[in-house]
Amino acid sequence: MNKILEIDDLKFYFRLEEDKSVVKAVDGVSFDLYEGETLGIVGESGSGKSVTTMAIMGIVPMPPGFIEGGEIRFQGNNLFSMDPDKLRNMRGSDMSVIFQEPMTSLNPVLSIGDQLTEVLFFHQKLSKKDAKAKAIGMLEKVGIKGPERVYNGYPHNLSGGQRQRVVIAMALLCEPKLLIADEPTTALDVTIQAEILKLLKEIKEEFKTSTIFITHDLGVIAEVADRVVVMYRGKVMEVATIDDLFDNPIHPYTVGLMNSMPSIDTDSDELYSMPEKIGHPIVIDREGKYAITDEIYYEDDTQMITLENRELRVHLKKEVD
Amino acid sequence: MSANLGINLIEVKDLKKYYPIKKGILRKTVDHVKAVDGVSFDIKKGETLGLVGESGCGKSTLGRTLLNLYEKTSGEVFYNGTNIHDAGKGKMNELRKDMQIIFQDPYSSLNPRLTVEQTIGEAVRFHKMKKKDELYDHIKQTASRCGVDPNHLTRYPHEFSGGQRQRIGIARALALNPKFIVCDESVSALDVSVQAKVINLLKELQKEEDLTYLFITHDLSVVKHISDRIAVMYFGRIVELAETNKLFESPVHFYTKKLLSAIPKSHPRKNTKNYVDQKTPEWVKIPNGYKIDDRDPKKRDTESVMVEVRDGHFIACYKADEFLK
Repeated sequence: MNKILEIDDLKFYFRLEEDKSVVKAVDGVSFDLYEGETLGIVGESGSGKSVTTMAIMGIVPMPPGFIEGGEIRFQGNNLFSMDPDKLRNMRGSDMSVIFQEPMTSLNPVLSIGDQLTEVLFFHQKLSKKDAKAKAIGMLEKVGIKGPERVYNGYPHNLSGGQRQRVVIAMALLCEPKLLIADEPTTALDVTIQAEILKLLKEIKEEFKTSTIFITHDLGVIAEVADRVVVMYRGKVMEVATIDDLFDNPIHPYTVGLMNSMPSIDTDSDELYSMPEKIGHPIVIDREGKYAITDEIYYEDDTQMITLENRELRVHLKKEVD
Repeated sequence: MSANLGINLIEVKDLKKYYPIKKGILRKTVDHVKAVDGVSFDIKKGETLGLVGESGCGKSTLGRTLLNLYEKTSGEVFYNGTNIHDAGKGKMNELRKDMQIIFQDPYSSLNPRLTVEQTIGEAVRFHKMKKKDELYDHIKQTASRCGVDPNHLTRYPHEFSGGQRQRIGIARALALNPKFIVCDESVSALDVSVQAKVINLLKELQKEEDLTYLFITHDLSVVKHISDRIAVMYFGRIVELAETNKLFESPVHFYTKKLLSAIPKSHPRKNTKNYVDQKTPEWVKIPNGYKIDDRDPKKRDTESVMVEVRDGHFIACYKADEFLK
């Protein structure tokens, strides 16, 4: 499979105004996205999952944000060294975003039709008539009943679920190769969430879009993702296929995250309590052969290695005979 | 779970809360939003009753009307046998000590201008529950019981994280030694690891103090974990009420089925349980002349009643047309 997106040791920091101190929001993150796959990114608030993806789209305000190092390559082109005009043409057509809040990601004073056709005029230079036909067709595809009426209506006429469908339609209009869904179901009720997840799966089948799906909900990840990146405090902890991760989570943070979730299937009296300090597994390096130990390492000297079908953040201990 | 179930601490009878819709220059009331539309249930002492439903179904309004924070439209709420809406102002003040609430948003529910000490101590001081020299010790004790470092009492809310603030909110409720607490989406705004800690804390406090909870949430896995019984609310009415395990094993009302089928699966290879196509189990005994109330909520013209279809399992039913004639 071809890589459509490669993130290589990305360091995205913020400089605080008051004391000029630096917040390392994304601190050396690397992962790849293959064509046609859905990659889930999980982590809690402040883990850097949103900043990573906003950096891909180039929509983080700079300053206060700045790129300390690393590269993001989209179809082989480094986005950071690309011509700004070219980048602008790519955003919205080759890659697009679905944001979390369907209430705030639509403009309340523009009709749904105006908001939908804007990208078509800009990127595809369609005529008014063609743009309208395409937009209405897309509304129908994302399961909106009475697309004509919705097209002429305004965001306040719609329920939360409908708005999110409109946002999804907008993101898909130019048939992007890369779709970033940033907590697209978090603000929705469970029954609506189930419908939207089903829709996103159908879209993936039909358009073969490569998707990055950001969420803090492991249940949602289990529904949609092929592979998962687990992030914590700006760093990647574990990258594995969905089956490997759920069958056999290795990193203490992944294990903790899974145990913290109250489960529908089990009756436990007490939920797992995550320790204040997250440690990393210690791995013995015997002439290039890795052996994982039960010991936990709490300092900063860690690295990503490939072990048991996954990438894992560990502390390597060289063993010399 | 809790052992001494038996005495009803809270009894709610046909509680209604309507909001008027006003139109025109004269602001004439043209219609009502029926946020809570005839709800009846009991909560036993020491029990946790979960209240689930989607946004806008009236679960928060119910929680607040039940505490007399909102004025009711009609119906009755009894706390320990006392009708709280009939109680005078003095009596109500007494009752407020016993009945507390923990809110959802740890950011907006704390006064940014009060220190932690003032926040936790405010109500205690108002009710004159402690002498001046005892007050500080009481605040310190309550704080540390809820996992707030007693050395941080002079700090302001903005100096704390979301989880810490929620602990302060819990300490504020607990400082009055309440018997009954409404938890209104108290863990919904928190990250999973923090949420787990706060849920554990709430359970621990319940064991120690023999507390009774009404736990309002939209998160079905959380409610399953914490509740003894669950009430499912849909468009202002409770449509099903049963023991937690029974509800998850065999939901009867179509809305409960739909809600439970929407839970994301817990493992990629596990399929989500589909309850929607399940037939009504044989043990469901509905009295003659009644039908399960699965009418379109906007077209409900007659009242519905809660019918006990087996031990402790209640379903909303209505009198079928042919028996009305």
